[in-house]
Amino acid sequence: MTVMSWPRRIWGLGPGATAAMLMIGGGLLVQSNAYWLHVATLGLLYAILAVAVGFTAGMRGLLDLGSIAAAAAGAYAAANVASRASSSLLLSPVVGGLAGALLGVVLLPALARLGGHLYVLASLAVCQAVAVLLINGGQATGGPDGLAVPSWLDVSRSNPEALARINFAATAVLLALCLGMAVRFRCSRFGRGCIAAADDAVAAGCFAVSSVGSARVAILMAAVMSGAAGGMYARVLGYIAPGSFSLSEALIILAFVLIAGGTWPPGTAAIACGGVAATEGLRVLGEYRLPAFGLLILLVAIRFPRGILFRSFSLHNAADADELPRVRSLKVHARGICKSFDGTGVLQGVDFDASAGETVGLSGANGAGKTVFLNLLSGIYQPEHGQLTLGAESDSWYPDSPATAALRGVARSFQSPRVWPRLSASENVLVGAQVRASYTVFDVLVGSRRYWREEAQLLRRADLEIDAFGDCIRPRANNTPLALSYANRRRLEIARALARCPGLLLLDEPAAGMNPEETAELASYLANVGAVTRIVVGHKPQVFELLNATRWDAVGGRFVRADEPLGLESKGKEHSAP
Amino acid sequence: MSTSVAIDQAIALLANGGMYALMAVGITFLFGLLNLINFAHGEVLVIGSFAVVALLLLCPALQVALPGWLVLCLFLATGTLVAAGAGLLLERVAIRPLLGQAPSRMLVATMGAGMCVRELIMQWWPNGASPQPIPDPIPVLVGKGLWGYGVPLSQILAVAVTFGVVIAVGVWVAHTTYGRWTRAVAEDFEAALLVGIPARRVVTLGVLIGCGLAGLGGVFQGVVYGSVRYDMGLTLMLKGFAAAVVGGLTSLRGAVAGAYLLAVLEGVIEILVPGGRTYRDLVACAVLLTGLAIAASKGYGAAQQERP
Repeated sequence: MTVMSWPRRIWGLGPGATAAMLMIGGGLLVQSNAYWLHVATLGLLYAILAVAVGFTAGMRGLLDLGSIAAAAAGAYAAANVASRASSSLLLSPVVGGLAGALLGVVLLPALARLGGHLYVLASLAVCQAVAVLLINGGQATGGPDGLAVPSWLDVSRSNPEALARINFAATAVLLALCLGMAVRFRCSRFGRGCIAAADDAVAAGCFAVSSVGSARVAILMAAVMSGAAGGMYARVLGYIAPGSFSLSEALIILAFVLIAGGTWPPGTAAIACGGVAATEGLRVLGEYRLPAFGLLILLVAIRFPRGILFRSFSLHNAADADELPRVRSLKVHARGICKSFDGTGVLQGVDFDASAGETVGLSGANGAGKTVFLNLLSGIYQPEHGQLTLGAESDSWYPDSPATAALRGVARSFQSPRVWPRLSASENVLVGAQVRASYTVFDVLVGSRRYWREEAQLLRRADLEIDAFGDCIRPRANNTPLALSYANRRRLEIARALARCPGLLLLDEPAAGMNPEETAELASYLANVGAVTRIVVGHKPQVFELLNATRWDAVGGRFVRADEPLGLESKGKEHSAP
Repeated sequence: MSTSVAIDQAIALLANGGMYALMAVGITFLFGLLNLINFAHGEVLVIGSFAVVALLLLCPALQVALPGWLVLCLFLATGTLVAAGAGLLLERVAIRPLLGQAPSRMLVATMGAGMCVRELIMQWWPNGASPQPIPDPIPVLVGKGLWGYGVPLSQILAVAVTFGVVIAVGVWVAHTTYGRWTRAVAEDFEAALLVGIPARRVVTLGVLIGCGLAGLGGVFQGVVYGSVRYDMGLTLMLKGFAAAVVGGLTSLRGAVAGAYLLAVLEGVIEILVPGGRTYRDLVACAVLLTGLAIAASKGYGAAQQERP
């Protein structure tokens, strides 16, 4: 297990890359004239804005044209504060961040529940509304001509080069801070949760990741960071106008995020800096840089849907972490469960019992309602009639939502593997483990001990589960799960469910697509995971035998214990593996 | 308020509503057929209206040589056809390569295409950044003497033609073969293919109609307001979206209703709020955000599962 170097732990770049950045930055600082320093500073500001939009558009998958409005709010707030109150440089990003946060909080109820298309339209509306307000803002915004922002240094007493140097250094510090926070966010349960919610919200919900909650966090982070960048922009440039925060600028920043893929903040920042440098370098393109950007967005959408950079790093060391305490196994009690879809009754009065620690094998014809029952247990569906409780005698509860079920100990795999392609295989398992984490966003942003400690524990948990499968997943643990074979993806799902340390494990046809040797291996593995209540849906009697499972059959809308004397039907309806 | 001003305002409102309705219908078509939010729709409108400007630049003697009504017809035809052609190009470049993939990719592709066209016009067209004038081909004031200032005939024609076209599209969708096929394809592309409907052709036709309508709206925008700008596509697209969202992005009638509602609201704000003229665009933003919030609370469009 590699030990993460300290530069990587702070801002996500390894020692080599960090040294290179310091040298380039230092070179710029010492040598250049004011013009190039200015361009470099602009590049750094675009980088911060791109990292900010990376939270919404990159990680959470919400195409975001509205963060530029937060940047505008930050810029104008900082400009006003600088003119009327203190003109300290340190204050501007703080004021900007607060203004961005305010805008984000005000708009959050309107924005957080919107998915995909609708979010784009809403963010477009926000962008245009803020543009109109800026143009008609009178004294506070200076109208279409904009505002001049007082410099924090008396220009007559120092040369423009010194001013440019300090502006560059200050912006670089701000970028480093933002990058550190973004990288920690990405390598935390919040970043992973955002990406999972964007890729497959239903599967994410079964691991207590809230679609709306992750959207809220992403939107607020983008707003605060954009606001801070806007505040810095106002002081560094000395002049702001509504045109700097137009839709075109929003599209450019979005383009940077989409080209870079958006899930690894240093990559996004690098693309943004590179983009600004390129437009300066190709002077002949200068006037046509905006049409060229449009064309670039078009090309990227067609050729590189996931962006050109897909890297996954972990910040954390798993060694020497404490083991998380185990969870008590749950018992299941169902009486008279009825569930129908569009008038067609699927479950018609199901009675079912599983005691704590029991292994149950549920089989039956396709369409008999086995998966529906699993979905009821994991809180995805709600029964129309009947009583369903999980848990112990004294502490029984009802799974009224996937989050409740997940938080109280239910973990599952799905009929066809639902993995999150933009997370690495290892991170997929981490999402399972992180159900039991409790650190807050502030712990992440500040980098508190609690964050480092809990993440190390989660990583240890995930590593244990991955290594239990030997060489199946480990060699490709840092790649996308789409690089795994179908059978290994199923194993990954099981590792993810087990990483949660569940009290109730629901497996939907876990051995489908495996040959008899693999099936036997999986079954013996599942038999040894400890005291967990297991409900396995499947068609392979081999699995049930190896697990010593209590057999239930789904027949005619009800479940029947296979060793109870039956009436006329289904005694011979055993299905063998295709 | 005096009667003449009231009538002027009412006609102007209806003209605006008609233009927004053309945009909204086009947007709804594209969303229904392709699940695509077309961010280049405004630019198609601009292309249509700039085609008329080009026509005027190329044949300056046009207005003198031909009677006014013929010139107007020529404008409308040029704008509509060029815009439809632009739509066809958009479909080939940004839509067809991405059919069947996650809708967000098409959305981003149209964003890029729209941005490219918009900024290209500004840079490359002579004097692109300033408004391009389109003189009114029929500078006749109707009702002069009857109720005061009178209303420009072109505005009345705008009201009539936009309303008529929108009704015609509704009838087409409801009663003709291709219209029925369009509804089928919008419902389920693959099922339509299986039943033998030429689904791809239907999609192309839908794009043509939607973009043609946008071009028509662009020409009227130029004729009624006297000039066109390279960036007016953005504002009009926003208003088109606001109107279409009122119809849930799927209902044509709802989109049309939303368009006229938006125009009325804008007029009301302009009259009631002092200095309201400058805040007109905010009305569309507010309608859009409200409509989206209502749609989200009803669970519509929430968490669209996009498989990459």
